[in-house]
Amino acid sequence: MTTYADVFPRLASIISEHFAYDIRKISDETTAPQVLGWDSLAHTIIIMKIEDDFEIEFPDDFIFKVRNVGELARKIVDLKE
Amino acid sequence: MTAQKKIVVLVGNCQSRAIENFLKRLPDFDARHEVARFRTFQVGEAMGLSAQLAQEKARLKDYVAANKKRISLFIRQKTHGWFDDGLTESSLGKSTEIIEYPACLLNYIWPLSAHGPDRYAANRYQARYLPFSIMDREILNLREQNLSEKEFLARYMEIDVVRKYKVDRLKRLNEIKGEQVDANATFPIWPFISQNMNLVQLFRTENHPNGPLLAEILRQIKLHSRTLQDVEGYDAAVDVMRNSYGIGPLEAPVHPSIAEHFNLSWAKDRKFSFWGYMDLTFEEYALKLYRLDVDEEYQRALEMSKSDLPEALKLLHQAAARNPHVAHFKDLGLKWLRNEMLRNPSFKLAVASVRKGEVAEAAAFMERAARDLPHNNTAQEYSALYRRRLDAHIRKRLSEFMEAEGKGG
Repeated sequence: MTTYADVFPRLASIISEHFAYDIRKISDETTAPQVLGWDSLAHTIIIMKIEDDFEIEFPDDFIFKVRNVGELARKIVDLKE
Repeated sequence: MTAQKKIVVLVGNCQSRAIENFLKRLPDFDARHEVARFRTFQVGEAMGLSAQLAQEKARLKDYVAANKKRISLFIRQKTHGWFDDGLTESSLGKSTEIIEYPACLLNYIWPLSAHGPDRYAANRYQARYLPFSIMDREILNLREQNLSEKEFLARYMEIDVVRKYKVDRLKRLNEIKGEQVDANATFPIWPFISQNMNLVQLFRTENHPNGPLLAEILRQIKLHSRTLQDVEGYDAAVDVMRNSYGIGPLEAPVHPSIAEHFNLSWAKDRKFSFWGYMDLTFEEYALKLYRLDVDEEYQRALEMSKSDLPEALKLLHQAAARNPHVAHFKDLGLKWLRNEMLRNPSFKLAVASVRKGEVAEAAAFMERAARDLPHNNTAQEYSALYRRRLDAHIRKRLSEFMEAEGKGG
């Protein structure tokens, strides 16, 4: 069973690597505008990276409505169940 | 007493700037309206301009409060919702029309784009100077392997871009974003994009619409606005826009396999404009990026040329010395050449000779002046490109002097 504790560090690592953003600054409340470079185009790329890494596909109505990294992590947990 | 002009406020990125320029060039509109534009959009955030954007939001708020009664139209670029300008309907006057046009950004035909800070070192200054606004992540990776240009090109073109980058999924993500932005805007734009994408070039880069798409945005804005209904010349100007190249001279090249996969008829077997003065095949473009033909000094020089040309020229020379294949920027190159010519002793002697009526000597000095341009790669390539124009310019200057002195013949 995949837990939030499993998902979050892996997710933070993907985001940190993609945006060259300090992983220590990434919390569940981190939002896209706080991360340099995380605009809507970069969002499409990072979403695909996350989908590849976790072998999931986010539902359409979630992708651009997600508000922070915590929501992303929770959705990944849901999709892995 | 003359009535004060009404105000049209525009909020958004370069797409709003294009709308601003379009409106200002309509004499009938310009006679009756002022335009004020404010930037609050995601690319600015991406470029690390958060502090400036916060100031811009405050400036917008103050401006709107101070001019509430005069603002007849508020045109906001609508994005997917992470960024807002902080204004609500109540911030504006009751009679102010609000039009929210969808921001047009699309990246599924450029899946290799390394736009924005990514995991590559080069992006540290991409973020600041944007020299690689069309940089390609595979090229950046291959650069680290010290390949010859021939090896690079072979390896690069072998990459199965369509599969590796799952472009169909990327296209779907683009659609989802487009549809969401449309749903919150005054009018939709994604249906127009979907219907025309294969037939007509709608984007020049990820965030720069081409003429036909900008024209559609302008057509829709008018359709939904009372303020713009009776502006003389609007529709004719939209037609001109439809046949123009929209925003910016730069064109991101489309990978041949992407053009084939999505059946982009306009992108097949063609050349792409490099800063508006050079057309390159996809392979030529890739090689240019592989060589880092646009480098940091060049980009800084380009920026600096607007405020401090002598310093910009110093940087230009440094760039030429460091990278013999440096790219050229048309305007900067011409300014630089002009500057070089004006400092050139032979050109001064040519002018002096003309003043004395010594036409043959003047022509000889003029020829020497053209030959004496610095013999670095930049100068030589510029002169190859612009020699004719430069010679014509010098001859014109000489004939003007001669006519002014009454010594023509």
